[in-house]
Amino acid sequence: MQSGCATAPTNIVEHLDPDTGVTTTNVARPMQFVHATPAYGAHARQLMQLGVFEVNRSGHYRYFVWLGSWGTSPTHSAASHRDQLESVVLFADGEPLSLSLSGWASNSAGLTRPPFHRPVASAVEAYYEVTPDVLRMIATSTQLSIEAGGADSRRFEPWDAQLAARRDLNYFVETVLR
Amino acid sequence: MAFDRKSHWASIAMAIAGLLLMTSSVPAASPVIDASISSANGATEIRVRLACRFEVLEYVPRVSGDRLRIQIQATSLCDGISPASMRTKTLIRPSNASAAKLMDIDYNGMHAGSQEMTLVFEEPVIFDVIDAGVSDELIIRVRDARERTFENQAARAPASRVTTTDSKPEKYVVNLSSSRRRHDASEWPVFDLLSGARIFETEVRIAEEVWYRLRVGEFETIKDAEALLARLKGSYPNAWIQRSRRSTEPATTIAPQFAASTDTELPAIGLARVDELMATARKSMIAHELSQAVQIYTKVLRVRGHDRYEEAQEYLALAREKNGQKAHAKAEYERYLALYPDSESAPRIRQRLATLLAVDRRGAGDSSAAAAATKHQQAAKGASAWRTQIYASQYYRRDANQLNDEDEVVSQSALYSDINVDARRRGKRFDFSSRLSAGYRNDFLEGAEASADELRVSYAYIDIDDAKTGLRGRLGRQSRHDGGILGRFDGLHMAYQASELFVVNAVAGLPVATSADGVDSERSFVGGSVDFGPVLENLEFGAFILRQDISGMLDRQAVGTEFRYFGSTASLWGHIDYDTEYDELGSAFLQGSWRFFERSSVHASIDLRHSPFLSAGNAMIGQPVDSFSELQVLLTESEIRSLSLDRSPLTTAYTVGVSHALSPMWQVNADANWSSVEAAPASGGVDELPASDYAYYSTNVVGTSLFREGDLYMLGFRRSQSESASVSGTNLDVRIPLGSAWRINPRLRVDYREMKRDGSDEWVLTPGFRMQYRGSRKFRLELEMGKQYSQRDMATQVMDRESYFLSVGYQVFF
Repeated sequence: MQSGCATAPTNIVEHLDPDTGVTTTNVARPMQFVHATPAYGAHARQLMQLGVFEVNRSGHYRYFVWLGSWGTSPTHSAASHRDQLESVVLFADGEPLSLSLSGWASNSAGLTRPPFHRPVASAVEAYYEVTPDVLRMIATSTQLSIEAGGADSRRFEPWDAQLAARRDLNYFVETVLR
Repeated sequence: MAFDRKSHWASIAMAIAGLLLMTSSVPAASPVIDASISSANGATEIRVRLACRFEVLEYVPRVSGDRLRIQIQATSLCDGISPASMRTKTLIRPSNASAAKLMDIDYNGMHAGSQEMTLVFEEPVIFDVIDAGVSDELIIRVRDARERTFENQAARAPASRVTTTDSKPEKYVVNLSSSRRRHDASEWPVFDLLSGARIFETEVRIAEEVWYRLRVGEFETIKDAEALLARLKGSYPNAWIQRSRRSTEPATTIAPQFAASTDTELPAIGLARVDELMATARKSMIAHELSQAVQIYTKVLRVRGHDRYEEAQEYLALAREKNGQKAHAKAEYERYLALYPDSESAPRIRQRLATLLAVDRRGAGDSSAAAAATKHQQAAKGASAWRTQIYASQYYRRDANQLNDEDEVVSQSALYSDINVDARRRGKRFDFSSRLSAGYRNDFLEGAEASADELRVSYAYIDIDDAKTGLRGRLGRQSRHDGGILGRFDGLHMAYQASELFVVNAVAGLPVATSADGVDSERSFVGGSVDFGPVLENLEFGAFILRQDISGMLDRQAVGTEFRYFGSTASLWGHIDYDTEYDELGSAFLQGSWRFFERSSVHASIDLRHSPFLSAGNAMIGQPVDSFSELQVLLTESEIRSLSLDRSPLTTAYTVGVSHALSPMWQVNADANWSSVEAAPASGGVDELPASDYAYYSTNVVGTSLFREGDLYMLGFRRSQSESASVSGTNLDVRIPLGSAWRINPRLRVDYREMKRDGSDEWVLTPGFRMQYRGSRKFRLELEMGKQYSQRDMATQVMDRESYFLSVGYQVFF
């Protein structure tokens, strides 16, 4: 079924789910984080993408952080990605924000279609419901990193300056959140 | 005796029957005890009684609408149910609901820390939520929206008249300016006000003429008023102080007339139409049609009789700012603050205004003004005290193995303690931050298996960010993965954000192989890079150059690029690292992904690299030396380069995959990966390393939220083939949330291995269990344990092996 989809020229994307009547608004470009895993190879890396979105169900607004995790080596198993995504702490300017997992697919946010497409087929996705304040902290922070996993935790740093993704995030917070 | 036995069984039967009866007769605990509709005092009342006492936190919209959302917070004072029973969802439709035009009440107790009730009406109504403090009953008075008298509602509108009273105690105001026209927003002063003071305009009739006076006040003492007068004399030379008791003026003052000053008022158009306009304006904002958004918000502000002035005022300012109309935006922000100085959004608006003013002060010709805006937004918060955040964790891990009937061998028994300390001080110009992330491993093993305790330092740096120049510097142990840098290093990284789209980086340091290593004094590097983006809408790229030396010799010299494209249905990213000294490709990675038919996507990647990463230092592999300088004594530079190439074979990997969502709950994925490593020739006394290939295929089906929200069931199959073995396996991964705090994760993996070297085969069974408790946002407890059974059938013997692992620990935030 063709859905009613409106794509903004930049920054954020709004989508109306014709099956549920739910409107999602999300940043166009997720941020990309990386953790080097040299034990698996010289350039082996585990990567994580972070996106934020709003769900509007007839005026009832909910906010989510989406994480997609995968690795460049096949030895990064899906189970280990899920273990890490169950224990996620976002550090926004040093402030630890412990995220509570809502679910593993877009249906945990009440959506029939994921707001972000998975970077690779083997990527593991996770959805976390957050408050608008958490999104503001993420957007306004100058230093952002992700600590994922418990006993075998890994720190993910931004791939680079992430200029476009940062701009999307700021625009999202300014125009979508109040 | 027989009677006793009969009596005994009868008692048990009765008890079971009683339990069954109780179970069937006791209804499931519901958080909503009752909901009723009644009429009183000319209004219809909706009363909702909950099982636990609660407090109303917030409700939106504030006056009218066809959907009322009320956020409450339940206490632990409950009537007959556990407070935990509030964590549920339920939908209620009270009898006689139509009398209040009510369709249903949607209760949702699943939110973290609060609960929510949404009342859905047949059409827009006017409502009044009675806040009774902590109570078990919620009362909402409802009236038909058509009865709404906008004249009365006008009291809520920004351009409202406020009647002052003579009983007000005497205070002081500063009269900045008098005019026969209303003061334009640009004439209003911008400065930090004393607590309780405000800027406002009064209306006074003198000799049949209306005069408008722009004032600041009210001040408790004349000294405060005089201090302000002294500050503003330059801008308002005719300013004077007056007692605020309005003996000489009419007993009517006018609150700031900004809303009215946008233009003439328009008649009411209905609340639904206003909502529609607001929704259209929001879409325009998102689509960057900012001029249209400005028009719509302006229109909303001119329309009489609705409750969305505050929101429209904020967005009008934002739309003007995004549209590049800085002066208008400034005026609209100031208007907002004058109208709603104590609103929840006011602090945010002050920050935006401060940002705008800061950029304005830097001058239109400053190319980095826009880039500095974000930093000034931070700076606008003002200088802060030192703020320290601590995050700590401790995990105990134990691994043990047992082969056939031999004694169990404990291969690991250690406590891992980690701490992360972030300290930060935000200044008006400089942001200072520092971070220490370190861990310590206590090894409890004794004898031959024991190893030394280990200190690991992952990060230890200080970071200074200058908002004025856009410069940022970080000194110490840190980690980067761009600009040709291969991860952790000790050194200095400087960045200059020249514009919103352009960052220049410079870096110098000593590479660190692992967090347990000290400084590598033999190697050092220096490099520079630039990041652009986005260009062509969604494409970002960067370029770098990096030179690394080892004991005075060139270790590697790389130039390269990194790029990233994110479209609505496709993404592509990769990097190329070329070594100009070796004239060889160091590494190249390209990954693309494309989504089609809404629910399907394919991806492919190519990964080429020397492994280990190409550098002169690789020549040490297999050589009887402790340092590179020793090797330099034994070999010439060209011999070293030749050896290092031989020790760094090229690795190639190709991956393709497909993912398809069968439904919102079911998904199937498949991946295939082929990789190969070139042969490394024999040289320098090191044996040849033959070429090798590896192939890996996997598929899995994943079901989510099948029985509970957030659960997951995954069944996967895979097969891998290499020169040494073929492995087929299946695994089951189940993740179930229990309430909001617990998650459990039973898992099972079965592998069958065929060893090509000796023709043996092996079965491996690995059951495991993982559990997590998230007591609060500041505490998390985790337990993981598992056992592995394997049986290897060799030509001469059968080898049984058992092993188990245990990990238990916690994370805590201070």
